[in-house]
Amino acid sequence: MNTGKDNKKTLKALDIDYKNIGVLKKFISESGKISPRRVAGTTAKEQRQVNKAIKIARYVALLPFCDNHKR
Amino acid sequence: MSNINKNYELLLMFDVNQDDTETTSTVEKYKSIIEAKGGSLDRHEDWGVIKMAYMIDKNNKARYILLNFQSEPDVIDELGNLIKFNDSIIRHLFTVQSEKITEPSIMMQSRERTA
Repeated sequence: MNTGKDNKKTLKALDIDYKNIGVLKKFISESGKISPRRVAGTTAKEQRQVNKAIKIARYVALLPFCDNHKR
Repeated sequence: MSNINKNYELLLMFDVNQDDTETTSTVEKYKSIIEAKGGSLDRHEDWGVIKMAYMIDKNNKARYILLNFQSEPDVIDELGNLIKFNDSIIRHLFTVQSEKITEPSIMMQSRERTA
């Protein structure tokens, strides 16, 4: 399991974008939930950007909303 | 009239059951509208057919097209109306960018590495 703690230093403001699924995937749990700050190790500012980006990525179906979408 | 140009990003998700040529002609049409209205196109990317994270209208896959352009806000209304009545577009997203973007996006960079 990726706790995200190691992401802290590598994260740059520019990297957080709804298109950058590779980075955003580090901030969602296996069931698709957004990791809380205490788990992800992000700053408040970063967490706001990550939240926004994940929600946009979900809308355009690049990330799932949950782990039991109907197939 | 004052010219208020903004940087926009448009992501289009096309139905894969549709003809490829039809998709490209639709995109070309939108590009010509942007340019006819005095806007300029900065970036055009075709991400190809991608499996979606969940089903939308019984579609498992979609063809993603990304357009970055500079234009007046009126263009967005016009394009938005056209897209709304185009049945082959599953979903679309307009975003405002703070600056002009011309370099390939992360999606294209990762595609080039794997190709």
